[in-house]
Amino acid sequence: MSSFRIRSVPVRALDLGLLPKSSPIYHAALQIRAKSTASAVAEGSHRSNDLKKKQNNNNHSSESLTGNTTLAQAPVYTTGLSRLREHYTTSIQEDIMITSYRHHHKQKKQIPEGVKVELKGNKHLKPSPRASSSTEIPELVKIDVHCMMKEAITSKYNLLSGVMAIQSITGQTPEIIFAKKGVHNWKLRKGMPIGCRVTLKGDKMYQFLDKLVEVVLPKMKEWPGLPEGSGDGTGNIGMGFPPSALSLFPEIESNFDMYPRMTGFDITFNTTAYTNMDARLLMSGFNMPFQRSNTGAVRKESSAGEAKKADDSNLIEA
Amino acid sequence: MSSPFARTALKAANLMRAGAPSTPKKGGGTSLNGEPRNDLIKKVLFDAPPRPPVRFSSEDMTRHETIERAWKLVRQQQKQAQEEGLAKKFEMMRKANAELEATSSQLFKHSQTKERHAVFPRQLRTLTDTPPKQVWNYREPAATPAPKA
Repeated sequence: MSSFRIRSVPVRALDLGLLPKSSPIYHAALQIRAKSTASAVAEGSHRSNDLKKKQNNNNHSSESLTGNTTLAQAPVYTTGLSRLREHYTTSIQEDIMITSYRHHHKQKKQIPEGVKVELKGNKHLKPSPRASSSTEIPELVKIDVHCMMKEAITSKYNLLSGVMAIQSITGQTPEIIFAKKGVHNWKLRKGMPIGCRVTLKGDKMYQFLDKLVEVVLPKMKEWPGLPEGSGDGTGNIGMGFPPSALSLFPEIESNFDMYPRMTGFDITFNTTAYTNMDARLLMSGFNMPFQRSNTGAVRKESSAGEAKKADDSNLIEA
Repeated sequence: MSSPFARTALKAANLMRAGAPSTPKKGGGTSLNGEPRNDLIKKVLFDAPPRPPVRFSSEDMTRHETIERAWKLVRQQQKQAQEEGLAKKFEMMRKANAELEATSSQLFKHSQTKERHAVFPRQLRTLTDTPPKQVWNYREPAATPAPKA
């Protein structure tokens, strides 16, 4: 009679909650466990000392009787899918890298450090673009949502509506902006709360952009798209919204009556692009519509055979 | 609402309703700026009690740390793989450009002139979990790109 032997599992079963064994996190955890056990054997009580240190730090507020530790504020990683982030990494990142590729890098005049250069008018120095590389590809870094309410001059409680609205839209509490200096004509004093701003990064940013592009912008009446030449010169794009746009967001649409005042706001897309061209290319990849002039359409038709007749103002030497 | 943002909308609505007093105040409470809704908003934003801190046993702590590190490791591996792919493609692009430059200077110059207003087409569709209601018709010629509704 052949004996039926159950082979013992070499690695102890990790209790990772409801994590399925097919997930990559499980295998990564196995790797870490293997490393940590090896290091624990080698270094003895080094690891346990680290844990003790953590407990001591957290025991300022919590009781140390049970040995429970309070969880420090660690960055929260969502394991769920971020639709636009995936869209960027899988669909448009490579295309942007190839389209914005410049074989010869135009080196701008470098100003030595410490030298102060003053440009005429209110102009400022712009960061010079770098040579194309696979590590520096235009990417969306953050979205700034900013709202300034003139009604807050008469009474600061008028600002509450704007703050609540922006919190509902973005899912993040905005910081209140106080006036840096007073303007007599508007009866604004220095230090008055006048607006609010929130900076979105990561998954929250992509979710907000998703909402904007899929739900809000299509509903806006007679909005032709962003201007063809939009951009601040350093790779960021800004746009403003009227108060009527606030009611198009699903969070505010559902309980519209709870907000005393509808306010307009502006959005700035901050990217790692160095030029307007690259920034516009990036944002169009996220389905942000841009206006197109008629000369562009004419140029496309004629470019097949007559390259010389192309409109030179729209073509630039790379 | 069947929209994918229904959850965030409900959350916002519940937040506002939770801040409302269960019993009406007697004698008329001080409503900020004469607007009772402002009182509610102020309560929700600033007077809401903070969440109690999460307490972990040492076992739970190691478990949590292991999971966090494992997830970081997964993300790191994914990022590394992606960067490798990008570097390879960039190298191919560079080689192709160098070859073109060596072959014909006029063609190379033509290839380096870029359209100032080059953007992705408006018909570009971001990936979704489910297919769209209106499937793309390949037979019909695309007359004018219709605005997304």
